[in-house]
Amino acid sequence: MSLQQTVGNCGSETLQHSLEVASSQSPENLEEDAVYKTHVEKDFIAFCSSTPHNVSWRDSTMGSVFITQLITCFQKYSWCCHLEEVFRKVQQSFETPRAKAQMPTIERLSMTRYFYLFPGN
Amino acid sequence: MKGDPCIAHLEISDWKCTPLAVKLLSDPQAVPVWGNPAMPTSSGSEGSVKLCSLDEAKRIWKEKSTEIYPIMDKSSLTCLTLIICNEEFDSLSKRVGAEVDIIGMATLLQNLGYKVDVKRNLTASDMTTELEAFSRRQEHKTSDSTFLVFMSHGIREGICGKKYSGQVPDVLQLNELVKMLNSKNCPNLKDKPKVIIIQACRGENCGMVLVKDSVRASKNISSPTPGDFEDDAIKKAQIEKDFIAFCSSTSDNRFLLDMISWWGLSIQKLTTTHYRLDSCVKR
Repeated sequence: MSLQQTVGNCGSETLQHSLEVASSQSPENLEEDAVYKTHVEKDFIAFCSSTPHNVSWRDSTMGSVFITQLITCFQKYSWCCHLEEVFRKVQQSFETPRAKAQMPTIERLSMTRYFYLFPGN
Repeated sequence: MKGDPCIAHLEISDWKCTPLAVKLLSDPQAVPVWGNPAMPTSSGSEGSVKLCSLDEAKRIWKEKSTEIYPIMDKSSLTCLTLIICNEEFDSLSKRVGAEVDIIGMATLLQNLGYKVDVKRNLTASDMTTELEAFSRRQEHKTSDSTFLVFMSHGIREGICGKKYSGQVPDVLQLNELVKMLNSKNCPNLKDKPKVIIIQACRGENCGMVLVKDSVRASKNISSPTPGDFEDDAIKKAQIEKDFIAFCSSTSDNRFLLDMISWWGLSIQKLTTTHYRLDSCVKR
Protein backbone atom coordinates (compact mmCIF):
# COMPACT_ATOMS: atom_id res chain seq x y z
CA MET A 1 0.00 0.00 0.00
CA SER A 2 1.52 3.28 -1.07
CA LEU A 3 0.27 6.51 0.44
CA GLN A 4 1.44 9.94 -0.52
CA GLN A 5 0.45 13.37 0.48
CA THR A 6 -0.60 15.25 -2.59
CA VAL A 7 -0.92 18.94 -2.99
CA GLY A 8 -4.59 19.69 -3.24
CA ASN A 9 -7.69 20.67 -1.39
CA CYS A 10 -8.25 19.83 2.24
CA GLY A 11 -11.40 17.86 1.44
CA SER A 12 -13.65 19.80 3.75
CA GLU A 13 -15.79 22.85 3.51
CA THR A 14 -16.73 25.30 6.20
CA LEU A 15 -20.42 25.98 6.28
CA GLN A 16 -22.16 28.60 8.29
CA HIS A 17 -24.78 27.38 10.70
CA SER A 18 -28.06 29.21 10.48
CA LEU A 19 -29.62 30.01 13.81
CA GLU A 20 -32.94 31.47 14.79
CA VAL A 21 -32.58 33.86 17.69
CA ALA A 22 -35.50 34.97 19.79
CA SER A 23 -34.72 38.47 20.89
CA SER A 24 -35.96 41.98 20.62
CA GLN A 25 -33.60 42.48 17.71
CA SER A 26 -34.77 41.71 14.20
CA PRO A 27 -33.48 38.27 13.19
CA GLU A 28 -32.35 39.60 9.81
CA ASN A 29 -29.82 41.85 11.51
CA LEU A 30 -28.12 39.07 13.43
CA GLU A 31 -25.38 36.87 12.04
CA GLU A 32 -24.26 33.56 13.43
CA ASP A 33 -20.53 33.19 13.97
CA ALA A 34 -20.55 29.45 14.44
CA VAL A 35 -19.07 27.43 11.61
CA TYR A 36 -18.57 23.74 11.17
CA LYS A 37 -16.69 21.50 8.81
CA THR A 38 -18.22 19.06 6.39
CA HIS A 39 -16.86 16.76 3.70
CA VAL A 40 -16.82 18.47 0.32
CA GLU A 41 -17.61 15.15 -1.40
CA LYS A 42 -19.63 12.42 0.24
CA ASP A 43 -22.62 10.14 -0.37
CA PHE A 44 -21.95 9.72 -4.09
CA ILE A 45 -22.04 6.59 -6.22
CA ALA A 46 -21.56 6.44 -9.98
CA PHE A 47 -22.54 3.31 -11.91
CA CYS A 48 -21.03 3.16 -15.39
CA SER A 49 -22.12 0.79 -18.12
CA SER A 50 -18.64 -0.62 -18.76
CA THR A 51 -15.07 -0.69 -17.52
CA PRO A 52 -12.64 2.06 -18.58
CA HIS A 53 -11.37 1.82 -22.18
CA ASN A 54 -14.20 -0.52 -23.17
CA VAL A 55 -17.42 -0.24 -25.13
CA SER A 56 -21.03 -0.49 -23.97
CA TRP A 57 -23.66 -2.14 -26.13
CA ARG A 58 -27.09 -1.05 -27.23
CA ASP A 59 -29.90 -2.89 -28.99
CA SER A 60 -31.66 -0.87 -31.68
CA THR A 61 -35.13 -1.96 -30.57
CA MET A 62 -34.79 -2.88 -26.89
CA GLY A 63 -32.38 -0.15 -25.78
CA SER A 64 -29.04 -0.32 -24.00
CA VAL A 65 -28.19 -3.66 -22.44
CA PHE A 66 -26.95 -2.03 -19.23
CA ILE A 67 -30.07 0.12 -18.81
CA THR A 68 -32.32 -2.89 -19.45
CA GLN A 69 -30.57 -4.99 -16.80
CA LEU A 70 -30.48 -2.06 -14.38
CA ILE A 71 -34.24 -1.59 -14.65
CA THR A 72 -34.88 -5.32 -14.25
CA CYS A 73 -32.69 -5.58 -11.16
CA PHE A 74 -34.32 -2.53 -9.55
CA GLN A 75 -37.74 -4.04 -10.19
CA LYS A 76 -36.76 -7.41 -8.76
CA TYR A 77 -34.46 -6.53 -5.86
CA SER A 78 -34.94 -2.95 -4.60
CA TRP A 79 -37.60 -4.22 -2.14
CA CYS A 80 -35.02 -6.21 -0.17
CA CYS A 81 -31.57 -5.09 -1.30
CA HIS A 82 -29.81 -1.79 -0.79
CA LEU A 83 -28.55 0.12 -3.81
CA GLU A 84 -25.03 -1.33 -3.92
CA GLU A 85 -26.47 -4.85 -3.73
CA VAL A 86 -28.79 -4.05 -6.63
CA PHE A 87 -25.80 -2.78 -8.60
CA ARG A 88 -23.92 -5.98 -7.79
CA LYS A 89 -26.84 -7.99 -9.14
CA VAL A 90 -26.50 -6.03 -12.37
CA GLN A 91 -22.79 -6.80 -12.50
CA GLN A 92 -23.44 -10.48 -11.86
CA SER A 93 -25.81 -10.58 -14.82
CA PHE A 94 -22.87 -9.60 -17.02
CA GLU A 95 -20.37 -11.94 -15.36
CA THR A 96 -20.29 -14.53 -18.12
CA PRO A 97 -19.32 -12.74 -21.32
CA ARG A 98 -21.80 -13.04 -24.14
CA ALA A 99 -21.02 -12.44 -27.79
CA LYS A 100 -20.80 -8.74 -26.87
CA ALA A 101 -19.25 -8.28 -23.44
CA GLN A 102 -19.23 -5.44 -20.97
CA MET A 103 -18.79 -5.16 -17.23
CA PRO A 104 -20.67 -2.35 -15.45
CA THR A 105 -18.45 -0.59 -12.96
CA ILE A 106 -19.07 1.32 -9.76
CA GLU A 107 -17.00 4.49 -9.53
CA ARG A 108 -16.51 7.44 -7.20
CA LEU A 109 -18.16 5.66 -4.29
CA SER A 110 -18.34 7.74 -1.12
CA MET A 111 -21.63 6.52 0.31
CA THR A 112 -21.12 5.85 3.99
CA ARG A 113 -24.41 4.04 4.60
CA TYR A 114 -26.70 1.55 2.93
CA PHE A 115 -29.25 3.17 0.63
CA TYR A 116 -32.53 1.27 0.82
CA LEU A 117 -35.23 2.57 -1.51
CA PHE A 118 -38.08 0.84 0.38
CA PRO A 119 -40.42 0.97 -2.65
CA GLY A 120 -44.01 1.42 -1.59
CA ASN A 121 -43.19 2.93 1.81
CA MET B 1 -14.71 7.98 -32.85
CA LYS B 2 -16.92 5.42 -34.56
CA GLY B 3 -19.79 5.65 -32.11
CA ASP B 4 -21.69 3.24 -29.89
CA PRO B 5 -21.72 -0.29 -31.24
CA CYS B 6 -25.31 -1.16 -32.05
CA ILE B 7 -26.43 -4.70 -32.74
CA ALA B 8 -29.64 -5.89 -34.28
CA HIS B 9 -30.99 -8.14 -31.57
CA LEU B 10 -30.09 -9.36 -28.14
CA GLU B 11 -31.44 -11.93 -25.77
CA ILE B 12 -32.38 -9.85 -22.76
CA SER B 13 -34.82 -9.86 -19.89
CA ASP B 14 -38.57 -9.33 -20.29
CA TRP B 15 -38.95 -5.61 -19.55
CA LYS B 16 -41.91 -4.23 -21.43
CA CYS B 17 -42.84 -0.68 -22.36
CA THR B 18 -45.59 0.88 -20.29
CA PRO B 19 -48.55 2.88 -21.67
CA LEU B 20 -46.38 5.91 -20.90
CA ALA B 21 -44.02 4.65 -23.60
CA VAL B 22 -46.81 4.67 -26.17
CA LYS B 23 -47.56 8.31 -25.39
CA LEU B 24 -43.94 9.36 -25.71
CA LEU B 25 -43.22 7.36 -28.83
CA SER B 26 -46.09 9.07 -30.60
CA ASP B 27 -44.37 12.43 -30.12
CA PRO B 28 -40.59 12.02 -30.28
CA GLN B 29 -40.00 15.77 -29.88
CA ALA B 30 -41.79 15.93 -26.57
CA VAL B 31 -39.69 16.73 -23.53
CA PRO B 32 -41.75 15.12 -20.85
CA VAL B 33 -41.70 16.27 -17.27
CA TRP B 34 -43.42 13.88 -15.01
CA GLY B 35 -45.56 15.47 -12.34
CA ASN B 36 -46.16 13.99 -8.92
CA PRO B 37 -44.95 10.43 -8.98
CA ALA B 38 -47.65 7.83 -9.43
CA MET B 39 -48.17 5.32 -6.66
CA PRO B 40 -46.22 2.15 -7.38
CA THR B 41 -48.37 -0.69 -8.60
CA SER B 42 -48.86 -3.80 -6.56
CA SER B 43 -46.12 -6.38 -6.69
CA GLY B 44 -45.76 -7.87 -10.11
CA SER B 45 -42.88 -8.95 -12.22
CA GLU B 46 -43.51 -7.16 -15.50
CA GLY B 47 -42.97 -3.46 -15.94
CA SER B 48 -43.30 -2.64 -12.26
CA VAL B 49 -41.24 -2.53 -9.10
CA LYS B 50 -41.82 -5.20 -6.47
CA LEU B 51 -42.87 -3.39 -3.33
CA CYS B 52 -41.32 -3.66 0.10
CA SER B 53 -43.91 -4.55 2.73
CA LEU B 54 -44.11 -2.49 5.88
CA ASP B 55 -43.03 -5.52 7.94
CA GLU B 56 -39.98 -6.04 5.76
CA ALA B 57 -39.10 -2.35 5.93
CA LYS B 58 -39.39 -2.41 9.73
CA ARG B 59 -37.24 -5.54 9.91
CA ILE B 60 -34.48 -3.99 7.82
CA TRP B 61 -34.64 -0.74 9.77
CA LYS B 62 -34.52 -2.54 13.10
CA GLU B 63 -31.52 -4.59 12.00
CA LYS B 64 -29.41 -1.81 10.53
CA SER B 65 -30.85 1.56 11.54
CA THR B 66 -27.47 3.10 12.34
CA GLU B 67 -26.08 2.04 8.97
CA ILE B 68 -28.93 3.13 6.69
CA TYR B 69 -29.48 6.54 5.14
CA PRO B 70 -32.30 8.29 7.02
CA ILE B 71 -35.78 7.82 5.70
CA MET B 72 -37.99 10.87 5.45
CA ASP B 73 -41.75 11.05 5.58
CA LYS B 74 -42.89 10.29 2.02
CA SER B 75 -45.86 12.64 2.20
CA SER B 76 -43.55 15.63 2.46
CA LEU B 77 -40.78 14.43 0.12
CA THR B 78 -39.96 16.24 -3.11
CA CYS B 79 -37.35 14.00 -4.70
CA LEU B 80 -36.05 15.05 -8.09
CA THR B 81 -34.15 13.22 -10.81
CA LEU B 82 -32.59 14.41 -14.03
CA ILE B 83 -32.18 12.32 -17.19
CA ILE B 84 -29.93 13.69 -19.93
CA CYS B 85 -29.99 11.65 -23.11
CA ASN B 86 -28.18 12.45 -26.33
CA GLU B 87 -29.62 10.56 -29.27
CA GLU B 88 -28.73 12.77 -32.22
CA PHE B 89 -25.33 14.29 -32.84
CA ASP B 90 -23.78 16.73 -35.30
CA SER B 91 -20.98 14.33 -36.30
CA LEU B 92 -21.54 11.02 -34.50
CA SER B 93 -24.02 8.31 -35.39
CA LYS B 94 -27.56 8.42 -34.07
CA ARG B 95 -28.06 6.31 -30.94
CA VAL B 96 -30.95 4.24 -32.15
CA GLY B 97 -32.84 2.68 -29.25
CA ALA B 98 -32.08 5.56 -26.87
CA GLU B 99 -35.76 6.47 -26.64
CA VAL B 100 -36.48 3.09 -25.09
CA ASP B 101 -33.85 3.81 -22.44
CA ILE B 102 -35.43 7.18 -21.63
CA ILE B 103 -38.88 5.68 -21.19
CA GLY B 104 -37.56 2.79 -19.13
CA MET B 105 -35.53 4.88 -16.73
CA ALA B 106 -38.18 7.58 -16.40
CA THR B 107 -40.85 5.02 -15.59
CA LEU B 108 -38.62 3.25 -13.08
CA LEU B 109 -37.64 6.44 -11.27
CA GLN B 110 -41.22 7.64 -11.17
CA ASN B 111 -42.28 4.31 -9.68
CA LEU B 112 -39.56 4.73 -7.05
CA GLY B 113 -41.07 8.06 -6.01
CA TYR B 114 -39.05 10.62 -7.96
CA LYS B 115 -40.17 13.52 -10.10
CA VAL B 116 -38.36 13.11 -13.41
CA ASP B 117 -37.03 15.80 -15.74
CA VAL B 118 -35.71 14.76 -19.16
CA LYS B 119 -33.35 16.79 -21.33
CA ARG B 120 -32.21 15.72 -24.78
CA ASN B 121 -29.39 16.37 -27.24
CA LEU B 122 -27.18 18.72 -25.24
CA THR B 123 -23.61 19.92 -25.57
CA ALA B 124 -21.31 19.49 -22.57
CA SER B 125 -21.80 23.18 -21.81
CA ASP B 126 -25.59 22.74 -21.92
CA MET B 127 -25.30 19.74 -19.61
CA THR B 128 -23.28 21.85 -17.18
CA THR B 129 -25.93 24.58 -17.28
CA GLU B 130 -28.70 22.05 -16.62
CA LEU B 131 -26.75 20.50 -13.75
CA GLU B 132 -26.11 23.86 -12.16
CA ALA B 133 -29.81 24.69 -12.37
CA PHE B 134 -30.67 21.26 -10.98
CA SER B 135 -28.28 21.74 -8.06
CA ARG B 136 -30.06 24.99 -7.12
CA ARG B 137 -33.54 23.45 -7.04
CA GLN B 138 -35.15 24.18 -3.69
CA GLU B 139 -36.97 20.83 -3.72
CA HIS B 140 -33.68 19.17 -2.69
CA LYS B 141 -34.20 20.63 0.79
CA THR B 142 -37.16 18.31 1.31
CA SER B 143 -35.77 15.33 -0.57
CA ASP B 144 -33.79 12.38 0.75
CA SER B 145 -31.79 11.47 -2.38
CA THR B 146 -31.38 12.04 -6.09
CA PHE B 147 -30.60 10.15 -9.29
CA LEU B 148 -28.84 11.59 -12.34
CA VAL B 149 -28.87 9.56 -15.53
CA PHE B 150 -26.61 10.29 -18.49
CA MET B 151 -26.96 8.39 -21.74
CA SER B 152 -24.83 9.28 -24.73
CA HIS B 153 -21.82 8.32 -26.77
CA GLY B 154 -18.72 8.32 -24.64
CA ILE B 155 -14.93 8.20 -24.68
CA ARG B 156 -12.37 7.39 -22.01
CA GLU B 157 -12.42 11.00 -20.80
CA GLY B 158 -16.16 11.28 -20.36
CA ILE B 159 -19.63 11.74 -21.82
CA CYS B 160 -19.93 13.19 -25.32
CA GLY B 161 -21.98 16.28 -25.99
CA LYS B 162 -23.92 16.52 -29.24
CA LYS B 163 -21.19 18.49 -31.01
CA TYR B 164 -18.39 16.04 -30.26
CA SER B 165 -15.99 15.16 -33.06
CA GLY B 166 -12.26 14.58 -33.50
CA GLN B 167 -11.84 18.35 -33.79
CA VAL B 168 -14.43 19.43 -31.22
CA PRO B 169 -13.74 18.15 -27.68
CA ASP B 170 -17.32 18.39 -26.44
CA VAL B 171 -17.03 16.18 -23.34
CA LEU B 172 -18.45 16.23 -19.80
CA GLN B 173 -16.19 14.55 -17.25
CA LEU B 174 -17.42 12.66 -14.20
CA ASN B 175 -15.18 14.84 -12.05
CA GLU B 176 -16.99 18.01 -13.12
CA LEU B 177 -20.36 16.38 -12.68
CA VAL B 178 -19.60 15.33 -9.11
CA LYS B 179 -18.19 18.74 -8.31
CA MET B 180 -21.44 20.44 -9.29
CA LEU B 181 -23.38 18.35 -6.80
CA ASN B 182 -20.92 18.32 -3.92
CA SER B 183 -21.53 19.84 -0.49
CA LYS B 184 -20.16 23.21 -1.54
CA ASN B 185 -22.17 23.63 -4.74
CA CYS B 186 -25.31 21.75 -3.72
CA PRO B 187 -25.67 22.06 0.07
CA ASN B 188 -29.32 20.95 -0.06
CA LEU B 189 -28.16 17.45 -0.99
CA LYS B 190 -25.50 17.25 1.72
CA ASP B 191 -25.50 13.88 3.52
CA LYS B 192 -28.02 12.49 1.02
CA PRO B 193 -27.34 9.73 -1.53
CA LYS B 194 -26.51 11.07 -4.97
CA VAL B 195 -26.68 8.28 -7.54
CA ILE B 196 -25.17 8.81 -10.99
CA ILE B 197 -25.96 6.35 -13.78
CA ILE B 198 -23.89 6.58 -16.97
CA GLN B 199 -24.69 4.67 -20.14
CA ALA B 200 -21.84 5.42 -22.55
CA CYS B 201 -18.80 3.79 -24.06
CA ARG B 202 -15.54 4.40 -22.17
CA GLY B 203 -13.20 3.57 -25.04
CA GLU B 204 -13.12 1.44 -28.13
CA ASN B 205 -11.96 -1.90 -26.77
CA CYS B 206 -14.25 -4.91 -26.61
CA GLY B 207 -13.75 -5.56 -22.91
CA MET B 208 -13.04 -9.20 -23.49
CA VAL B 209 -10.03 -11.49 -23.69
CA LEU B 210 -9.62 -15.10 -24.76
CA VAL B 211 -8.18 -17.36 -22.07
CA LYS B 212 -7.28 -20.99 -22.02
CA ASP B 213 -9.63 -23.41 -20.31
CA SER B 214 -7.95 -25.49 -17.63
CA VAL B 215 -7.78 -29.26 -18.07
CA ARG B 216 -9.55 -31.36 -15.46
CA ALA B 217 -8.15 -34.88 -15.22
CA SER B 218 -10.74 -37.64 -15.26
CA LYS B 219 -10.32 -40.28 -12.59
CA ASN B 220 -11.41 -42.92 -15.08
CA ILE B 221 -8.44 -42.39 -17.38
CA SER B 222 -5.64 -44.65 -16.26
CA SER B 223 -2.86 -43.34 -18.46
CA PRO B 224 -1.18 -41.25 -19.72
CA THR B 225 -0.86 -38.70 -16.92
CA PRO B 226 -2.87 -35.47 -17.36
CA GLY B 227 0.28 -33.38 -17.39
CA ASP B 228 1.28 -34.79 -20.81
CA PHE B 229 -1.70 -33.18 -22.54
CA GLU B 230 -2.69 -29.63 -23.21
CA ASP B 231 -6.23 -28.55 -23.87
CA ASP B 232 -6.78 -26.39 -26.92
CA ALA B 233 -10.08 -25.10 -25.71
CA ILE B 234 -10.30 -21.41 -25.08
CA LYS B 235 -13.05 -19.36 -23.61
CA LYS B 236 -13.97 -15.73 -23.27
CA ALA B 237 -13.35 -13.85 -20.07
CA GLN B 238 -14.07 -10.31 -18.96
CA ILE B 239 -10.85 -8.36 -19.35
CA GLU B 240 -11.44 -6.47 -16.09
CA LYS B 241 -13.39 -8.01 -13.23
CA ASP B 242 -13.18 -8.63 -9.46
CA PHE B 243 -11.21 -5.49 -8.61
CA ILE B 244 -11.73 -3.12 -5.76
CA ALA B 245 -9.73 0.03 -5.14
CA PHE B 246 -10.06 1.72 -1.77
CA CYS B 247 -8.46 5.14 -1.78
CA SER B 248 -7.51 7.12 1.26
CA SER B 249 -9.35 10.25 0.15
CA THR B 250 -11.74 11.62 -2.44
CA SER B 251 -10.39 12.86 -5.79
CA ASP B 252 -8.44 16.12 -5.70
CA ASN B 253 -8.13 16.01 -1.91
CA ARG B 254 -5.11 15.22 0.14
CA PHE B 255 -4.56 12.64 2.82
CA LEU B 256 -2.76 13.96 5.86
CA LEU B 257 0.45 12.11 6.54
CA ASP B 258 -0.32 11.75 10.21
CA MET B 259 -3.49 9.81 9.30
CA ILE B 260 -1.55 7.09 7.45
CA SER B 261 -0.90 4.99 10.52
CA TRP B 262 -4.49 5.19 11.70
CA TRP B 263 -5.93 4.21 8.31
CA GLY B 264 -3.44 1.47 7.67
CA LEU B 265 -3.87 -0.04 11.13
CA SER B 266 -7.65 0.09 10.83
CA ILE B 267 -7.59 -1.92 7.61
CA GLN B 268 -5.12 -4.41 9.09
CA LYS B 269 -7.18 -4.87 12.25
CA LEU B 270 -10.42 -5.38 10.34
CA THR B 271 -9.00 -7.91 7.88
CA THR B 272 -7.26 -9.95 10.59
CA THR B 273 -10.51 -10.32 12.54
CA HIS B 274 -12.08 -12.20 9.63
CA TYR B 275 -14.16 -9.43 8.06
CA ARG B 276 -14.82 -9.63 4.33
CA LEU B 277 -13.04 -6.92 2.43
CA ASP B 278 -16.26 -5.25 1.28
CA SER B 279 -17.42 -5.03 4.91
CA CYS B 280 -14.09 -3.43 5.79
CA VAL B 281 -14.64 -0.87 3.04
CA LYS B 282 -18.03 0.02 4.51
CA ARG B 283 -16.59 0.38 8.01
